[in-house]
Amino acid sequence: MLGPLRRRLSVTLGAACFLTVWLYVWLRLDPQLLYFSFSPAFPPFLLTSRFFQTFLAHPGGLAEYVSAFLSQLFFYAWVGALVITAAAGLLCLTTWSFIAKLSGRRARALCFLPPLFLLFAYDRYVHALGPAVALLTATAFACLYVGIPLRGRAQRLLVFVLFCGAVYYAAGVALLVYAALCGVFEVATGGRRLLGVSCFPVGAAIPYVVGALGFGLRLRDAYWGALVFRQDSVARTMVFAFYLCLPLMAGGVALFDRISKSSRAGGIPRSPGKASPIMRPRRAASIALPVAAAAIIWFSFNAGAARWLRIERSSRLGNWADVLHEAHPRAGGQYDFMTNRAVNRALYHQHRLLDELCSYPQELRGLLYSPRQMDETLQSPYAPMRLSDTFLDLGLVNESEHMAQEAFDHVGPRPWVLQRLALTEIAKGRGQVVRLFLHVLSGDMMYGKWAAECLAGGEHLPPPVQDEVQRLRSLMVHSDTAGWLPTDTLLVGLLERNNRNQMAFEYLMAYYLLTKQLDRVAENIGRLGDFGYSRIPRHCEEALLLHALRTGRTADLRGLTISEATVARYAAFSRLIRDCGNDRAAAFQAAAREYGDTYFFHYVFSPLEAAQ
Amino acid sequence: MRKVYYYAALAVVPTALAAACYALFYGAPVIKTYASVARLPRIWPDYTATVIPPNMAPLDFRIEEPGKRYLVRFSGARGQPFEVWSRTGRVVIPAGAWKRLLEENRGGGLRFDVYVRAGDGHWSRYETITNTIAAEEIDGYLAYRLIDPVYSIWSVMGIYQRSLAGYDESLVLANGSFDNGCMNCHTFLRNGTATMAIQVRPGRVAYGAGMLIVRNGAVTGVDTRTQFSPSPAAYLSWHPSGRVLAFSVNKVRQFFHGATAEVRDVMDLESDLGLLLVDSKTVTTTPSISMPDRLETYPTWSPDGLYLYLCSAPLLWSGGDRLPPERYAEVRYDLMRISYDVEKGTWGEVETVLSARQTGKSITLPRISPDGRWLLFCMADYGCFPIHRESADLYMMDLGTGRYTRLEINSAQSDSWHSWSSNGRWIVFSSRRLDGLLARPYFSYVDQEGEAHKPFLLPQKDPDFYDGYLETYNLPELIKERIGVRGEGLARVIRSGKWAKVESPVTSASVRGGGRPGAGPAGEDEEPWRPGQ
Repeated sequence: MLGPLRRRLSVTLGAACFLTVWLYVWLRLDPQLLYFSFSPAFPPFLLTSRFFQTFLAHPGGLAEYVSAFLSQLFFYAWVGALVITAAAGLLCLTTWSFIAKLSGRRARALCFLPPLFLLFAYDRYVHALGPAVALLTATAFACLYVGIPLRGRAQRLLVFVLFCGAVYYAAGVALLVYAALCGVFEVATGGRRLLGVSCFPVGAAIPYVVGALGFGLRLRDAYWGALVFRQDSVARTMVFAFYLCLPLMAGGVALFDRISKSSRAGGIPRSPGKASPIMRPRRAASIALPVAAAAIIWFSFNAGAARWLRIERSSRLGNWADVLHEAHPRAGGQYDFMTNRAVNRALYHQHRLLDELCSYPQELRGLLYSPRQMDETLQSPYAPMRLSDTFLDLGLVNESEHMAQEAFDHVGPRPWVLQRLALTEIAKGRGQVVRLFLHVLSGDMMYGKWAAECLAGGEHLPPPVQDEVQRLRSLMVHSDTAGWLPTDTLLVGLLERNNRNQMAFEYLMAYYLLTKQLDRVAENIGRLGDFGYSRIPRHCEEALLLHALRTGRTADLRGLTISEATVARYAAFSRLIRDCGNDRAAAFQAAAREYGDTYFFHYVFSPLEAAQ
Repeated sequence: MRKVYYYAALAVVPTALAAACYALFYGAPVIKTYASVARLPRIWPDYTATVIPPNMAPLDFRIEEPGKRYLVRFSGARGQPFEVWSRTGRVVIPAGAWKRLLEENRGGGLRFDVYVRAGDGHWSRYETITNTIAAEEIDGYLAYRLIDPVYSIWSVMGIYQRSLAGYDESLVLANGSFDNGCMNCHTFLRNGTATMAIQVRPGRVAYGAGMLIVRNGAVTGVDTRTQFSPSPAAYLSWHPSGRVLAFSVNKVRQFFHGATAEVRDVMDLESDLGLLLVDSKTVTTTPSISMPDRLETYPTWSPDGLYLYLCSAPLLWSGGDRLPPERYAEVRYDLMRISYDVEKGTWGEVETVLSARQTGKSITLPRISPDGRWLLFCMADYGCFPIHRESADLYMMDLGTGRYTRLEINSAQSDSWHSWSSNGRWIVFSSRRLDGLLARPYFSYVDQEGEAHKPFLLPQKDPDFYDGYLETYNLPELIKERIGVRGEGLARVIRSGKWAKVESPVTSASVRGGGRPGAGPAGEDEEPWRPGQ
């Protein structure tokens, strides 16, 4: 009577657990953030036979291909969450199945350990689907091996070796996990110590035989290169731990079994109806482990990385309000020139650049770029693409193409990079290159439709694309310049080409503001009317007031006026500075609190100058 | 036993039925009547009216005419014609029949008769495509570097070799085997692979920069930098004796354009030439090819080994690293040569072969035919990096008369980086004609009169291959046989970081190429390109 009830309870508990993990991954981690990231571990994927063939040519390629395919589903956060949860669930299931074969019902709570590692990796925004698929392949084969009724050592060894080859080809070095699991099983349950002990060296020799000799790989690549993973060292350590946890766990369980068996053989009596001294901690552990696991998952969440990735995604999708929300100084966390770049772009698109520029930390390369710091820009795959975004908005088509190509060289054919390249080439009228990029992009699962529509349309592009191309063509410069130009020269050039280029105007004014060129602000303020301004933006008002006070001259405001609020704010600001006397640090502290978002504060305290 | 027969029948009968249905409905079509179309069919790649080697792989192509079924009949004056049919227009030619047809019609014509069936069931026959099969074979392999269209960051690249009789492509050296370093300028001695050289630059791990020299299977790493020449070597040319390697030392810089189709531009801020005496590992030069007020680059030996040809331009700026340098668009290289006695190690005087003032263009990449009669070179509006110049075209000079002509094989895009076959009847060159961005190898037959015939694109088994291939074919070189040395053997030498130092007797004037005399090795971090992730 208890059996079916217990089973139902198990199923319900399992489903609840699955649902909880799925909701957690979907709503808190949001896998879509990884899709829009430039993580080198996040693979590109194309639905073409040639793309597939490249994965067949090396060990571990199949697992890479499957994970690359599944990774594309991260485009939809809820589906991505389902993929991660399913991978975790399957890992749990195969581990459970293996441990059940190894040690009966006991210690099955440990099956949560590998999925815990997976979730921990995703908590840190380490894309570990490749290793998960590889590990899943290895454990599935291990389950198959222990489940097949094999007779005799020779037969077992033969099957083991055959499976080794299959696992290595499909899942790369996860083969070692398979070999270790089989070895532990043979030693612990079958009493085939020699076979068990030889499993690991045999498994370890397979990469040499298949990888180095068969595929002609360099020895290091046959082992290290078949990890089904590319990432920085921290993430690599995480993946190593992920790979190691299963064999260590299996070994631990086997050892624990052995100790408990020998202690039972030693005559410790088991009283009926009472848990043995060994069972008691196991029950406690079965409650404590899930609680600890949940706590680890919850508290290991990398909120900083999530915020950074949310800014990247919002920026890519044009959700400007979200960019500003995430990047606001109040939100805390990392704020560098790349975030600064996204913020300024978002401020422009929200028509708030000249009003709220100083509400966010600013540096010159955060506005556009500094030729001297291009090296730094090229170090990160994020920086060139963000710069490409800004260039495209401004109408600097060649510069945008250049930066997108740099991003391409960093991360390969990511769909939005290809889309950018196609768009810039359409604007330049280079039909053949456009077709090349669109042809590749048409193999993408998410952006393929866009590319196919553009390809099918030929000269008649879909309306949104056509509009963007027309916008770019109206803004792009035709007289060539070579080398990196100073920011103001570049923006002035854009305005000379098209004096209605509002972004170029606002960025130019922002540049003059940041570099404290008040006379330039005053000279150009008359252009506000060209862009439909009915009032002077706040920072411009503040700058004009400072300019008037410093020079005694009033700029021609073309009928617009400086608001009384700005005048009053200046009076209060200067009173506060005066009150602090010569204590610049105290003045800074006090002014930052009250007037940190004003141009007055920037003008007095910012070290930025027109020194590019 | 009956059961066995039953199961066998169960398997065989449906299979036979399926095969019969396939043959009936999907098999090769039989054309009884057709309408003639008075024009050539559109096919891609353009394999029409070209001259092909008798040992070339099948020229698979795609018929770009609307239709439901396609049939192509391949025939020559001799031998067995054969047909290929397709439902998609993709024509994948069987290798055996193709090879036999080419062999039997060597020196004759090769005809492609294209039939297309429209949706209404009527067949059309287009005018016959006629190509010529040359009597002379092309070298068996093509070596090239495959690389993304690099701007500032490089990632994955490799040197590959491709069998021209088939489609087999094999890796010679991948940069993944030495931590994303860079390799370039693979150079062979007289189209052979027993003696070759490859330049190497470090990637994420500083294995060092240098030159891999392969001689009869043995690989040596040589660092040609000296106290007086602190940058690594760049462009190479083997002396026909195999004892001397001419090289250039270039201070290369890249900058970008704001409103041109090609964004990139590359200039040498300084450059000189030198010689590596391979046996003694000695570097030498002479003041007349390493002048401080001139840029000397692109060395190439005459096949008799008596002259070193080079490109040289006056330096129009006075030092500094300003980018772009002043008057960069006025830099035009002259074609020059200097005699050299390999036995005595003595130099003659530099003489101008063709001046930029005469041509109004910048002359680069001189390559002389194996018989020494023809000099194939490139000319562009300015500069030393023709691959980025749309104006770059190939020209042929008769070294006997000094007369030169622009070849008809050029396109509106960059045509450059050419190489001769060992018999001097074929050239391969890099052309960006397909899209203006990526270089693809084109072959052209050069007849006795030095005329280059309509070029054809390196064939691929998949006719759609180039539609979505995002890597560029860099520096195609024709080679007679496979490169025997294994990639791992080359990579091991690089990873060892053991680069043989060279002797440098102070005989020359110059040496700038990236640093001041006595400044020590400085070249590694001065490249305009760097490794990515």
